Parts: sequence; C-alpha cells; structure tokens
Amino acid sequence: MDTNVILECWRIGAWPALSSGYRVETVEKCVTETQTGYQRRRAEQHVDQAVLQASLAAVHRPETKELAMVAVKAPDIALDLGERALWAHALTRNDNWILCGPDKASFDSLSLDSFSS
Amino acid sequence: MTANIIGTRLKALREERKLSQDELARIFGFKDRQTVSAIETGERRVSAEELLTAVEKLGASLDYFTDPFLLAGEGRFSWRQSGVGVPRLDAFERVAGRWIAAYRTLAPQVGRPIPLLRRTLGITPRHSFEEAAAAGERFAKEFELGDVPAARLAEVMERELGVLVLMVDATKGVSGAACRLPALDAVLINRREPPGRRHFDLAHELFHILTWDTMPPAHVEEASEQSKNRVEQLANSFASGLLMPGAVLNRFGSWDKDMVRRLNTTANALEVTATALKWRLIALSRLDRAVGSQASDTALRNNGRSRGTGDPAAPLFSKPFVEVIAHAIDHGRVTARRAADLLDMTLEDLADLCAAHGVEALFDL
Repeated sequence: MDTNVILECWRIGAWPALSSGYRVETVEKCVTETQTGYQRRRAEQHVDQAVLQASLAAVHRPETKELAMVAVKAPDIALDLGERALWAHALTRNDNWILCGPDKASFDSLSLDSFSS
Repeated sequence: MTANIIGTRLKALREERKLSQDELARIFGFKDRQTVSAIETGERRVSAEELLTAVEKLGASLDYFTDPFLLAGEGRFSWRQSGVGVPRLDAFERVAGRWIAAYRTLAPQVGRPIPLLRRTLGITPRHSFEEAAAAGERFAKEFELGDVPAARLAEVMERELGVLVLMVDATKGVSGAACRLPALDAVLINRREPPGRRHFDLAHELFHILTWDTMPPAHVEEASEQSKNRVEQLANSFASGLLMPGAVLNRFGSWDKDMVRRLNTTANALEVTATALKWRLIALSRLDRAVGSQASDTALRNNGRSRGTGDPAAPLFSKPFVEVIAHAIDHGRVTARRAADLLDMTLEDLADLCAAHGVEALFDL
C-alpha cells in the first residue's frame, strides 16, 4: 500500500478496519512518508509510527538491485521514492498481490507486461 | 534524454572521470568498447546488474543514473545577483536545475517538444551600445511586442523562441538567471522584484540567451543597470532598446517640464523602472544628461511611489511550465507526490498553483 492511501485511510478512520481485515504490507519509504514533515499535505495527519508498523503485516526494504530493476524497466517515469520502493518490492515477489496507490504514473508504466522477459 | 537517461549519465560520468570507453568496458567486463558505445548512445539497454556495477565501480548513486530531474554536468547558468555568496547560489542553482531538467524531460512526453532550432543575435563585443539598443528595438518591432513591450515579452520568448521563462522565489539577492542546456534555454526571474526590474532583467537575460555562443556570460554578474562589463553593458543596451523603443517613446512627447513626475508616470505605463527610462532618454539624446541628473535616485525609486506601495508578485513559475507538470501527472509520466517534491510544496499548494495559472489540476487530493 502506497503512502497516500495509508494517509487517506488514516484520515477517515478506516485504517483499523482495513489493516485488521487484510494482510496489508508496505515498504519502509512509505512508512517514512507518512510521518509529519514528509506527507506533502497542508493538514498533516499525526500517524503514530509504532502503531502503524504494529498494524502492518510486513514492512519491506527493497535492495538496491531491486530498485535498479525498476529503474532500467521504466527509466523515463518519475516515481516518488515510496512508490519506486513499493514496485521494486512487489515486482520481485512470486505470490499474488494487489498494489493500492493513487497515481497513473505508478500503474501505466509498470504493468506486468513490461517486466516479462 | 528520456529513455536513454542511464546511457547519457554514464557517458557524462565517464568523461568527467577521464575514462576511455575501453577502460569502462574493462570495468564492466565487456569484451570491447562497442558495448559501452551502444549503451551510451541508447542502442542497447543497460541491465539492472550492469547498472549496479556502474554504481559500485564508479561510486555514483543510483539516483545519479536514473533521476530524470537532475542536470548532471549539463546546464550553464549566468546569475544576475547582488551580494549572494557562492554556497547559497550553488544551492539555489541545484534547485533551479531540477525544475529546468523536469521541464526538459516532461514537456516532450506531453506533446510539447523542445524547439528544434535555436535563434541567435549577431551582436558581438565589437558592436556599439547604440547597435545593441537598435537590435533591441528591432526585436520589439519584428516580434510585434506593441506599445508596452514589457507586457508581452515573456509570452513571446516562450511561444516564438521556445525559451522556458520561470518566475521564481529566488534566494535573497538574486534578480534572475539565464540557463543554457544543450537543447533548451531557460530564464529565471525573481518574481518578488518590482515589475520594472523584472522586465529589465528578462530582456537582459534574453540578450544572453541570444548571444551565448559568441559572448557567453559570466557565471555570476552584478545586478546593475550601470555595469562596467562590456557584455553586460551591451545586454543592458539591448534591454533598454527592446523595452523602450524610440517609436514607443515618441507618443510621450518632450521631457523638458515636470521631468520627475513624467518619468515616473511614463515608466509605470511602460512597466519599466523610472531610472532605466531616464538613462534610455539620455542615450537617445531626448533628455540632456545634466538635466537628467537632477532627477535623483530617491525621487525615481519605486517609480515615485511611497515605500510599502508594492506591486503583487508575479505568479509562481509560468503557465507553460505548470501545464506541463499537470499534464505529465495526468499522462502518468510523474506522480503527483514527485511533482510536489520537485516544487517543494504540498499537494494542495500544487493544486492552487494550477488554479492560479488557469490549469486544471488533474489529480486527486
């Protein structure tokens, strides 16, 4: 789950229901971006990092090689750091997953077709 | 620059490190330099493993090779400033470079190609100030800037010359800058300066853009309408001629009587500074130098308006720039958050910026 979605769920009070009903995972960069000063929103949410991390099924930290893979596959799409890390993790998984994010840039360019080789 | 960003950056770093293609081929473990050449020209895509090798062996970050909003060794700036130290100027240059790099990357992706051709002006240091001013007058006439050339200059620079014009919140002391990339020219103007200063700086930087190949401006120049540097003096003469053509000044009659008031009101009408107008009239011999010196700087400051009577700042950046950003978000070329990071603003500020320029904010808050 991307930063903006986490923040919006938190804002409307839907996070407890979402995180308890589904196996919600994210990456470290997205957790960082939920914190005050990084949200890029006028009215910032106070997201307790400890509470957030405890409610997540997993928080991943993609390796440089995974980030490099995203970079070479979509070199001309300007993703923010959180989304780039999210895709770098997601696209190296072997199981089924759903990625939830708000940006066209995230989905238009990084379709699974572009990673077939 | 877009899809071959990695190859372009690799070549820039190789040249900076003074490595041959053969040497780089050995670093990568390629059998010959042709593979390096193919990567640098974009004929061959680099693999993720090779990118990691470049990061490790050349000591550059992954972002260096992959961030499209970075001027890596490209872009020469010429700053018009007063009293700004090198560290602050360098820091602002890095920020401004990202805006320009972003436009260069995103504009072609949303149907706004960078101009194929570049215009030049045939003024050299051997030309006189009068010839530079005459060139400015001719520019105003041929590009049909009208009775108030200042009002349309930015639009003409953008539309006819393909110059990116950005009104910016510059670091204190910076009036403006011209920036030259291999395929794009840009001008930055401090949007909080009075309109007359902004317009003069814009015309001055335009001169540098048009004459860069023959008279490259210094990296840093003192912001003064009375500079002693010849290139700067020619730029000032060009700007004066462009903003205050003789034919335009004709309609304001003679300057014998009530000089200070007439300088101030005429300067306001032409959207220039009264001081610049005074010197222009003296250069045209329409105002005697001795008589003109009676108009003190104090009387002409702020075109005679009292302190605290400020003009509103120009809207931030420019409509073409904001349109490109908004369309790039809508076309999936950049995320809204990345765009907000680039401009160092919140998503709400980004939406307001779009609204200020009459551009639809095509992203959800």
